[in-house]
Amino acid sequence: MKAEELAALGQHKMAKVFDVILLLALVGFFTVIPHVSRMLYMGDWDFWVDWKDKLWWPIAGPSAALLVTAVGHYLAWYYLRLPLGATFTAVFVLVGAWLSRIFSFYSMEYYPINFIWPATTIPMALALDLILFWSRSYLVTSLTGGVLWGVLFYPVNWLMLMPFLQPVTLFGKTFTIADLMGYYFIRPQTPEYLRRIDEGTLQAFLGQRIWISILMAGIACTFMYWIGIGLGKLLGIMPMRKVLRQT
Amino acid sequence: MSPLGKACLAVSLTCLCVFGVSFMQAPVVQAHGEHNLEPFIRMRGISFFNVEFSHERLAVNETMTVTGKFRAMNSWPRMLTTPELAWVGVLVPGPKLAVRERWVNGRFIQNAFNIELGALYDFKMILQAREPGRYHVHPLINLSGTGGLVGPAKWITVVPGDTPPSYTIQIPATGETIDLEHYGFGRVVGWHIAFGILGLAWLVYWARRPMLVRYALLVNGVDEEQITPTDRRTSLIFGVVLVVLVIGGLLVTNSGRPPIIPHQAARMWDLSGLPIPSAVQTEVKELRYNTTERSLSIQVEATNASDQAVVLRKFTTSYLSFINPATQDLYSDLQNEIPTMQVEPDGLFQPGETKMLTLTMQDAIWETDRFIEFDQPQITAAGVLIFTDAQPLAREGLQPIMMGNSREGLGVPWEHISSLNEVYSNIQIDFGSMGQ
Repeated sequence: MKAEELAALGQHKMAKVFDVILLLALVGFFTVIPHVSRMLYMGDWDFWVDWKDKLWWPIAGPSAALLVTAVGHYLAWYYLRLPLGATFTAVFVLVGAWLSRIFSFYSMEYYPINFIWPATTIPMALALDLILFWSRSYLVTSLTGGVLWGVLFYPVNWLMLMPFLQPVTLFGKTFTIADLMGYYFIRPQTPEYLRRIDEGTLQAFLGQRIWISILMAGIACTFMYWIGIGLGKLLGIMPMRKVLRQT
Repeated sequence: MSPLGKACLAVSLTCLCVFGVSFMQAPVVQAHGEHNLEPFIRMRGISFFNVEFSHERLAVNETMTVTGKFRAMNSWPRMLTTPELAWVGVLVPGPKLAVRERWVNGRFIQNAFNIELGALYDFKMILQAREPGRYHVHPLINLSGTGGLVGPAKWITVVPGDTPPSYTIQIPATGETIDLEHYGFGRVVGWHIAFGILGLAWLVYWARRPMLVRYALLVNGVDEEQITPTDRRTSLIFGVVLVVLVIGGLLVTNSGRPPIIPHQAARMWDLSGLPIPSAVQTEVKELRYNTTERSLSIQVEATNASDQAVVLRKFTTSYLSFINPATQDLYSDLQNEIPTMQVEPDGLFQPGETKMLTLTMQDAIWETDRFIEFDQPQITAAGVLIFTDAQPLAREGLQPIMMGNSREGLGVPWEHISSLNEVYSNIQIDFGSMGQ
């Protein structure tokens, strides 16, 4: 079949129905799977505002979030030449996260919704898709988009986090607003000492340890990008090749 | 339908019916894991004393006080990590009650604090009701490397209040008074919507393409041709909008922002335990459990080393307490609810006197609440003996706490307590006449 005939097929009703069904299936898949992945690997850093520190969260957050996002990013480009996989995953994982926060954390457990907001990865995902679209190279995308993903994660989410870092005082002790929320809105089985947050280290870098975390996140995400691509190849392409060979 | 299909249908319908009926039969579960931890850690971890709740019923926004004492036991199971940090809180299903204040040994507790085995601590928490309902509230001591150990519980009823829950505090740097229930949420939603719209616009732009055909074209070698100049221009526009949004957002947020600090992780490392009353010296001789009678007996040699007469009033372990009924006038209406123990020989200990005491506590709770289990490689028990002065305790001096909700029994006023003595040993099990 010639290319023109194939293109004309796109206007056929059945082709459109197939596209809608495919999209719905992908929405379901990319709402649930990356959300589970984020809960497993980002966990409390993503759940609670008093866990969103500047040592661990800027590294663990983007690295965990990139894993499944890179799978969607790779498969959309490989199969459809569409630079939307990362953005698609980032948008719908956020839909899944908000549904979980509203219907589980807020409605069932009654945590204040401003205490449990998830981090966004949409700007970095868009950057990842744009860089792949412009460069047509996974290598270039990993070295620039991967680094940007890690580097931008903290600044982008700091836009929302900043007000929660203001100091307040209670009985002579200094808290951030986020700390005080964690103090009031109790997590009985996640006591304060389990918080994996910056407790002060020797890697102070003149007190600016956030830059070390951000740099480390950029490097980690470059590698995580390739792990995601490998995962996409393993789960999304090799089985399909096998099926096509058999048919 | 084939015979196999009919069989499958029948099996499926049966499973559905069983599933549905099991749901109808299922009782409401109201526990939250009090008995979950292994018995040795509950008995040899933390012992609670004189836990009191100021209210049984309060409206949203009203506050109540939970007070009590706990002792980190010297008989701590050594196969576990020795706890370094502790955190005091309440066990409730989510923050239905907010913890407004935590005090240990008279000091305000911000985060976790260092705990020492054998030390005695006094705690106070101020709780503020958030959501109407009926909750089983335990004081809870979390220990690093181990988990949470709960104290005696009480059912607390929260009724709707005149106003929704509110937690206001003033930010010193700006003078702004904020409500922690809602603060900052508008900004969070605003940024999520801004980035969400940008992402969705990108998706809508690309997802309108016929996907099935696009794949077919790609397989047929049509690759670059599927990208149009409009696509390239559009991607540039999205790139510019993204950069402007992120950099502009950072500049605006950073300019004139209030002072901010990192999350505060300061722990309290200099919290000393309270002085432990030690008028009596004890040496444990034997702990024995009779499976037929479900009774635990403790044989202990006790010497009154003080110059005052004392009396053994109570044995406490985890959230259980057994009182010596011969030493105080019980509330007649609570006779059957208060767990008691038999002490032989009973009576006063004169100064310098040594006695071989045998305490017997017969109660099914040893097994129903998994305090004594026979499938453990170390079957042990531990607790604290509470000796008081010989002053007859006035009826009104006793605190009838936790009745009907737990096994705490009568609290002994702290000023009367002369000695707290830990007892711990392996248990000898009498399996009785099994098989007859």
